Amino acid sequence: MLHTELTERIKQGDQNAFELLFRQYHVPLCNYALVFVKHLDVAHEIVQETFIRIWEARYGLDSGLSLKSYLYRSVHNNCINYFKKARVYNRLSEEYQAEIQQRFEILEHDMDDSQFDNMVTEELEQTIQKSIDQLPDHCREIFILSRFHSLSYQQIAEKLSVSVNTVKTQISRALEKIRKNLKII
Amino acid sequence: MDSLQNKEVLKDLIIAFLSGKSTAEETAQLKKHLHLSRENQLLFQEIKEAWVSASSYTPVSMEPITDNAWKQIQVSINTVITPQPFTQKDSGHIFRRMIRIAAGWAALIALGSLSTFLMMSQKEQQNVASVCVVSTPLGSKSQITLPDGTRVWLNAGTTIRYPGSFSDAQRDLYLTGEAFFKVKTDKHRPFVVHAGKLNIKALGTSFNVKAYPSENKVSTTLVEGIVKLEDIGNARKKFIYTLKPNQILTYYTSEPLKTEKIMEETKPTEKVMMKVTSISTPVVVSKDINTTLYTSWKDKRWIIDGENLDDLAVMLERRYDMKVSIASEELKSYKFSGTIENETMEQVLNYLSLTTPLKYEMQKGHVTLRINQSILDQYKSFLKSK
Repeated sequence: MLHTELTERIKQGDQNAFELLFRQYHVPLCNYALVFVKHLDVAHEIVQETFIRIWEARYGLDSGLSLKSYLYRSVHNNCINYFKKARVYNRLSEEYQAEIQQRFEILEHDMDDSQFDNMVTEELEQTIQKSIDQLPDHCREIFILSRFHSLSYQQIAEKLSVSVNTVKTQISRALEKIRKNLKII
Repeated sequence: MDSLQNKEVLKDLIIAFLSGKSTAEETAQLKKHLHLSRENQLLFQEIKEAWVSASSYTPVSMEPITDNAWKQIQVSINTVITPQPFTQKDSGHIFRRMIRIAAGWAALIALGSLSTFLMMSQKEQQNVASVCVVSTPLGSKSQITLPDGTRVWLNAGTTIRYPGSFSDAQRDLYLTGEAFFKVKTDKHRPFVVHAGKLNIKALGTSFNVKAYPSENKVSTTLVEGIVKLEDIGNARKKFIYTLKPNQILTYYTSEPLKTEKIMEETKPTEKVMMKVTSISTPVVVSKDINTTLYTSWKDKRWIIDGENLDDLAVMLERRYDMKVSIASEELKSYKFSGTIENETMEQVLNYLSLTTPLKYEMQKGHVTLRINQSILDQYKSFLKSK
């Protein structure tokens, strides 16, 4: 289904269309938020919130805009808002907040709005898919556990009965491969 | 330290940072490195891009997580929508959301507790000019009390919408699915259920409305009092009917149904055919019915009386949140009667297979019913020998 059609159906209150959108982007968005917030459960909460808000404000959706970049942008902004609010209501520990503050400073350094458009092109998505699929099994498994399930090096090492060093090397190798392929486009 | 080694250290730092594993000290160190040179910054940007881009990859192992998250979303977006906070300026916003997410979980963990939550939140919110939406997912039922004191029982897969505070003129409620209403008497403010194009107007009565969109018909069963039914859709051929206790009126909302089909719907002795409207909106009224048969779904004992397997399958789907398909055409017209209390889907299927020549297969929430040929043959030979 075309994205404009999907947007139209969501605007009309079609929950099936909304489910399609949700299923397509739930994991990518959680993974995206994870980079900023560090904890999987926080990332999940933010993504849930984002989808609920999009549904509530569905009448105002613009069919002309790319839903995908809109989703990424929303999750990004909601990550920032989450911590703003958390600070006001003192919901999170001080160390965690301080750390997140630092993460944002580093991550958002020389970042601009166009990144949302760049990061979500079809071509890029395919390159990522291919790069990860082509990794040796062992390497891919370690990368997925670290990148998507947010396990610590120690946890991965125990789970797979390898050394922490192996885990580190494999993750680095996986990233190297992805970087190389990204450079080509 | 030479630059090559330095680069490796930096890479490790970056990866540790991106994967959320770096200590505060390491993060500070990384920050320092980034300020040091443009080269370091470029390396960071590159690795960051690779790491962030990888988010578009969806490992298969995440599927169950998405399933669960969607169920939560579904409950959240169908639960309560109120644009106003409770009291405090912004905390209400967060609090309400937390409640809603909690409601999502509550409904998943213990579906029955949903109604309690809804009643609680309504008490808090009834003065607010807003729209409340209450839904029951498939496989669960719920009961709530509206701001005016009217009690509503919701069958599985049902949504009702109503204002947080009813207007002075009339109490409006929008329904898809099936609900039983015990309307609080208020002579000056009629209670109006909007189901498709049909309006069901009541003052103080008990009645059941079944209006699942998939069925193209609205059935109203009156237990006590009086309700007035009106079709608002067609101004020229306006339909108005006053229903009396122990009557059921079935109003077909779209797709002209053939007369023979309608005749089959009800028992001959109780049937009154009406030709008051155009052919596109046939209406069937049955008098002197046993209303319990139509309202028992809300009670512990669910009574089934002479239902076709075809229709029964749809009811079972909603009650148990399963998909039921009938593989053998001839099975569809088999009729069933019985009472179901706390039986599981499997127990119900066992009863069915005891009383009719059918067998069932259950697989991942999908039930397939087919004819059991050997038992059917036994039946036939038994009948012949008689």
